[in-house]
Amino acid sequence: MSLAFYLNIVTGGLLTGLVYGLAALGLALIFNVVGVINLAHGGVLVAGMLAASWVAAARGADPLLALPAVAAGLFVAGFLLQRLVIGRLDGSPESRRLPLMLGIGLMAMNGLVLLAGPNGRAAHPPNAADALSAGPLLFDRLELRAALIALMVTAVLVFFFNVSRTGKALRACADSPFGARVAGLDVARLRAVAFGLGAAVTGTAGCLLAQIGPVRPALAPGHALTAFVIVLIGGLGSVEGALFGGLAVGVAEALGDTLLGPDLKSLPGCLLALLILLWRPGGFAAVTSSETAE
Amino acid sequence: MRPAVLVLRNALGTALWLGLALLARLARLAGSLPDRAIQGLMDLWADLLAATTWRGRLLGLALLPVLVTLPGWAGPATLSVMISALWFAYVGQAWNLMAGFAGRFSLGHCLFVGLGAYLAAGLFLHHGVGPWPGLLLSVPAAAAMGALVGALGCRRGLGPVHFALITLVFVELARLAAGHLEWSGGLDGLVLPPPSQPGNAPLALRGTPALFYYVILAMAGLALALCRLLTGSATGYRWRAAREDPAAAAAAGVDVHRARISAMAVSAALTAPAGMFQAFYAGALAPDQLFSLTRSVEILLGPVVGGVGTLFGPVLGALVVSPLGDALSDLSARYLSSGGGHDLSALRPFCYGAVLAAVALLLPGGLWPWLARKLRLTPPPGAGGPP
Repeated sequence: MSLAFYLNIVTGGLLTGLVYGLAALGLALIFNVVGVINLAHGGVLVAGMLAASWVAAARGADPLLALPAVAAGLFVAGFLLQRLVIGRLDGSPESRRLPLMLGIGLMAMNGLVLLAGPNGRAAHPPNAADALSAGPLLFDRLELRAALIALMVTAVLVFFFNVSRTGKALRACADSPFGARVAGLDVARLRAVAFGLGAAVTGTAGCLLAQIGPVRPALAPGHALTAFVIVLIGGLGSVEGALFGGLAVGVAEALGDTLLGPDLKSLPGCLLALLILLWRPGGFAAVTSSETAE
Repeated sequence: MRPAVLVLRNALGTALWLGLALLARLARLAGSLPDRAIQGLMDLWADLLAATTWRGRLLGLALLPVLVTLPGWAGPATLSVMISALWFAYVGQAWNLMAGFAGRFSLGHCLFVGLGAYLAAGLFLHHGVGPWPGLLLSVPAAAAMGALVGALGCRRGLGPVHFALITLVFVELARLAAGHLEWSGGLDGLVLPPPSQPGNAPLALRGTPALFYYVILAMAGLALALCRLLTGSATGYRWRAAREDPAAAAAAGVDVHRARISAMAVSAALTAPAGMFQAFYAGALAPDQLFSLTRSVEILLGPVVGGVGTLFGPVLGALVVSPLGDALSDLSARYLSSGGGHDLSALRPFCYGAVLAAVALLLPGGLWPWLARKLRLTPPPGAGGPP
């Protein structure tokens, strides 16, 4: 086991981690602005995966072509879900919102299993299985492509939040819904936009993940757990935290996969999450939140 | 490196201190237990009288002989549905202690059911320890695990969402551990051999469904009494204070952090015997089945439907929801065997989700408060009543 071997594993983990980070970003975005944890995260992700594999199988086309449609469709679905259903519980205690989110999550995950059947399917674009090499490093071409797209989407999102009017309004809404309302923002609509955007981002990540891993509706709980571990590590609702956590979990999972075996690959990430909780309860990105009272 | 060492030292110190305090508390508790049990039962009785109208009392009186004589006249199918309903009433009651009274919604109570089940089956298979003595180990183990989950999940500055996610992480860890340890039989799980001689052996928890029915009926009744005892105690008031307003509770001198940890520990300890029952009733354990989100949802569905934070809600919810779940899995099994080709096993969790969402949106208090009001089983609000 040479250094190059481990280097390759870590590189692969970092590339996957960028996609994980994007998925966790969707989760963090919803938590930040809407204030609920999207327990349907796994379902949304798998919806993106299935769409990608459908494009690859039925059309014989590059699954990436499914991306715009997936993002648009999930945006509308998320927008309507928040506007019509979840938004009705805005401001109610967590003891009412958690069961609702859990119910929606179960319906999403198992609804997909009912619709698509439990069987696995492939979503690899035609003739793209070769690798690129750079010195001792070997890059899987598909992984590299997925990671670069994830990076681009992340950059666009960061730009959107820092520059555009809607992005700034969303951030205001996350910082203080009351203040946002005082400033004349339509908080209910912005929350719906945030939920739609979060779902779209999550679905995009699902589309990308479909090309570098297995596709099965039953994977939804596992992917959801990965995202939850990421936001626990990075800090719930933090953008930098989601990206950092994504990279950390990507590497931890890749190392776990190689050293412990594929069925134990989630172990290092879970342990890391517990350690971070012990060391810095609010997650990596939280500097002050551990000092503030709830 | 320094803060990590400091945290570790603090954690060790706290664990030691908590352990010693727990031992002292247990010793004191053991002395006063008979007294307290009698007091608790009398409290429960007084509550029942105070909290019900004549209609409620009559209904309760009519239900009691039905429950007691059920194995005599019910068919095997009804009996099995009732056993699972009572089982869910029992675990729902345990879950409700944390979620309903201490205000932290656990998505991971299958962890404690699984722990109890694995310890009971493993001790029996590997060391010949019977189910009831096995509780001497599994209940403290579950309490310790619950305290650990609570200590990490309720750290200062963390909200209910953190707690819910952390319970999920613990379930995943337990699933991995159970699937990879030789003691727990790996991915195949553990299978208890069929009883060697026919007949009922309550001490070995082996026998006919009727035996299991009476055991779980007694367990559910005891859990109800215990929960009443706890909610009426100073500890129970601390839990509810921490739920209602943590800041005000802290100002009044309640250690919110410790209140939540103790609620989680008690809730976990109470859940473990349900695992023991399940191991001996079903006879087979598999890690992927025991440690799954669907399982946790089944546990919390009864109390959420019946009414989080009420005493009778978990019982009513379990009696409503569990037959529904059984009917759904029956339906999907029949469909699959009739050559439908499509696997419908996801139908049950899907419907659970629909029920959860519907209850959260339409009936936030749960079924019990609504039903009790409609049927006038309890006095109208304002006239006093149980928590």
